[in-house]
Amino acid sequence: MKIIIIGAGKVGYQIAKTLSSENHDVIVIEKDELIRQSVKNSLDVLTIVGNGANVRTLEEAGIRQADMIIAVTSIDEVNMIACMIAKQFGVPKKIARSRNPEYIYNNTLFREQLGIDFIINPEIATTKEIVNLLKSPVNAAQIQDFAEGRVQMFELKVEESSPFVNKQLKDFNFKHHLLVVAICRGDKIIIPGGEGKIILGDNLYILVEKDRFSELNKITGKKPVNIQNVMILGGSEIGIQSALMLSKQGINTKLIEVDKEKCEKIVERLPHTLIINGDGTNIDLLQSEGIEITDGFVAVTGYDEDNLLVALLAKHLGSKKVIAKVSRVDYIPILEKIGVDAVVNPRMTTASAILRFVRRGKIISLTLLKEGKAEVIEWAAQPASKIINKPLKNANLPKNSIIGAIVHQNRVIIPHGNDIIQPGDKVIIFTLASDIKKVERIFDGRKR
Amino acid sequence: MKYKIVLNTIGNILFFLGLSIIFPLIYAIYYQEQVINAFILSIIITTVSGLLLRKFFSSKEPIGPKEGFAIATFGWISAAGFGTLPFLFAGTFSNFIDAYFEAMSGFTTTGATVLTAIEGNPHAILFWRDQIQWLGGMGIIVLVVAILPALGVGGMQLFKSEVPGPDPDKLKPRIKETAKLLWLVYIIISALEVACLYFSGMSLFDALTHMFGTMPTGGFTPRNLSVGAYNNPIFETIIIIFMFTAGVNFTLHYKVLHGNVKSLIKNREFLFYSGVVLISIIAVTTELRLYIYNSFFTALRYASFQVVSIATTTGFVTADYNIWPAFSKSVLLILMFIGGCAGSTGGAIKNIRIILLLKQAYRELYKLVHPQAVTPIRLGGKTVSEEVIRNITGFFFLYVLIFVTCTFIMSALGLDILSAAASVAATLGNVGPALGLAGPTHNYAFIPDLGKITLIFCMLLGRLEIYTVLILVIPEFWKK
Repeated sequence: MKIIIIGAGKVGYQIAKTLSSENHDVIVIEKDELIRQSVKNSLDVLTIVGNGANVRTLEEAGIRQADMIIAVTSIDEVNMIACMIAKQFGVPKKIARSRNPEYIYNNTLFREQLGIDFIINPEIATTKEIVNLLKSPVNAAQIQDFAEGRVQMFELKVEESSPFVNKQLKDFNFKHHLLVVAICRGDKIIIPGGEGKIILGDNLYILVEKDRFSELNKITGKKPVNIQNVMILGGSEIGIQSALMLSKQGINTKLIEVDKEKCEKIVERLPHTLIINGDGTNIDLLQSEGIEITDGFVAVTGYDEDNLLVALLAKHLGSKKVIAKVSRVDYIPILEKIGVDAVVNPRMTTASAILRFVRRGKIISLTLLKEGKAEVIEWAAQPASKIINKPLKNANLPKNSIIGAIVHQNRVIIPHGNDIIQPGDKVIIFTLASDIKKVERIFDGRKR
Repeated sequence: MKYKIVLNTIGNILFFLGLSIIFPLIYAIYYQEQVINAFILSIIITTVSGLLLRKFFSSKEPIGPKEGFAIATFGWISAAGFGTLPFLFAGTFSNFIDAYFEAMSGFTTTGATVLTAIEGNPHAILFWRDQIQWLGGMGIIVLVVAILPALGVGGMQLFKSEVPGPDPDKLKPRIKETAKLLWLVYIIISALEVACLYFSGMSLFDALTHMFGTMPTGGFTPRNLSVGAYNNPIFETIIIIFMFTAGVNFTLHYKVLHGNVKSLIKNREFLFYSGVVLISIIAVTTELRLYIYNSFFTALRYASFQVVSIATTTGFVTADYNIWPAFSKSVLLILMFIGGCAGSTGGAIKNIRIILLLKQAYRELYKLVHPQAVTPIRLGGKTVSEEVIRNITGFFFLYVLIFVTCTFIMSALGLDILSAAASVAATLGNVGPALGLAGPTHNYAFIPDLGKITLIFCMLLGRLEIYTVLILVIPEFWKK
């Protein structure tokens, strides 16, 4: 596929990196020469310097032959105009990032007038992720839905409270609806067999049928968390949206924002939330606002460092579940080690959502894990696929991938060697980035 | 520095190089020549060395900029090293330095020879000597990038370290596709030249070997008297056209083959290059008509061939320009420095750099008048980044510095000033025949070993455009 990406910020870069490694022809348009140079030197893509809303630039990028355009500059209007031009040139698929929530409600304008097939709002996508994490009774670092929510993947940290530390996976007496698909240890992601051992500090990726998470709490050794009170630090768009979404579901929300004028505006939008004007990095303020009795703490200011430190502080002061927003991807690998329960990164969330859309078709859904080192792919099994109608143990899957779940006519199967995939089933596969192509070949069934 | 991936990739280069020795072997078998065993042995040694390197240093690490430079430089050094095997086994040269000089001269498309008698060597040896130019022309590393599965960004690093020009273009989003297309265009034009020469009466062997000399702007021929041996204006015309073509950026050729002829006329470098060639032909023709030849057409015939041959850094010879008047000789000497276009198979400084250097020089003068002026350098309507300008001025300085240093070395070894300077200019610019003692009717055999080693180094520096090689000399490069 020939894909034009406009804007080589973090999101554009991540998408370009993933798509070019999958042998798509990627053309990146970036207006900043320095950024363009760095993309040129680190990715196997064609780079063009220019404005993505300029017809000439787009023509130079070969928009006439393009199969898809992904507009992810930081300016909504540029993204919209780029998609509009793409519509004129008959580009089949158009994706735009839009940060201004005012635009997002204008659905007909987007879809019909501008011809945008998929709009992603990073703030709303991140908010959904935060709310999902908060509402789950399990204290997970990440939750992803598959097969229309029938299967969920949890990322759990193994802490001292877990009874499974230093035990082998086969010793666990799980009922059938749970599978540890991967263990993340330090930098490495391991696909464990039954012999795999769990050690302190591991992160486990577990696929489970929806609502069967009682087992998960056994693994962490913690009581289920029921969130009633949430404190939000930072009146950013994500903060506001989170407060809105949570309070709609009957959860008590408090929002702390340091800027007085901003507070006044926020109050208008959040009638059911207590807005506090103050410095959230101040421990006295947190304590006087009852941090020790809050169940969930969400730090979403514009500063990564503040978010992390205050989230740690909140955890220390007794908050049950703390989530921090971090914009710099480089920090993420160490964060979960230091005690924050979950980290959200709007850019990775956006990139992930766009990639999911790009590959839609036979692939229904996809999630990037650990900065793209691994992926979870949901596949609709095709009749031509090589893996159909034979026991999985004979399927010859590559060594760094595992089938996590099969959804057969609305029934979730956590598979064993003797299970069989039939056409029309949805299959959820966990695979390391190195094996993606092999997996695709097996599932696609056609030679490329 | 990741040694494993460097050695692994060099293994790949050697493996493919070894396979390419099959072509001269076919000629050896066809002509029933004594050297069959020499070629079989060379194939085995080269491919097996390549395979061993590949096997023992398998690595999945990505190729970074450092590795790219190391692979290019050591890849070329070792390719030339293994390229000497057929010469050594067949006994073409008695000592290694001569064989290495000839191989490096071939790979770098210089065309400077140390063979005193070319005719009389077995066909297979002559074929191999010419074929290595063709491999080196578009580039052995570009070939490896085109053949090897997904090198990804690493491919770009390799590509940049070999393709001439300050900022190589990509034709396609993926570097592998770009490399494939460039080789395809190269093969198409090469085939066209073979066809033209063959159908105008050259034997297939001569047509192939002359194409091997023309397309990479090399200059080796299987004849003692070079192209002059045929004394055939039709051959000369064909070769002039193809030499000129080979001196043009191959991305432009691709665009033209794709029906975009306008891009050729719009390209500033192409226009400048054509202008330089045209003016030089007119100037030299005029002088030759006045002082040497009686007829205008004879003057034009020799002047145009020699000017195009030197300007594109090919180095074919139809006339002994050593005996031409001083002005014509200095035109040729200056052309040795300018060379072809970026992204072509031509050598030397390249027209694009000359254009930008001129613009930069003018800008400095302009700035003296308007010190506050904001004056970006534009080329064909696009602003050239200061980074590129800095890169080019640095390149030019290093080019001159190397030229001066090596000229000192050559004169210290006893060469007269003209021969010393011209031999360095002709090897650094990958031209071939120089002026004076190493002129068109002579060769480089008389130069002492130390001088040959100096010139070998010049050829490598010239082909890989200095930076790629010199960066390895900086201690900073090897620090962890």
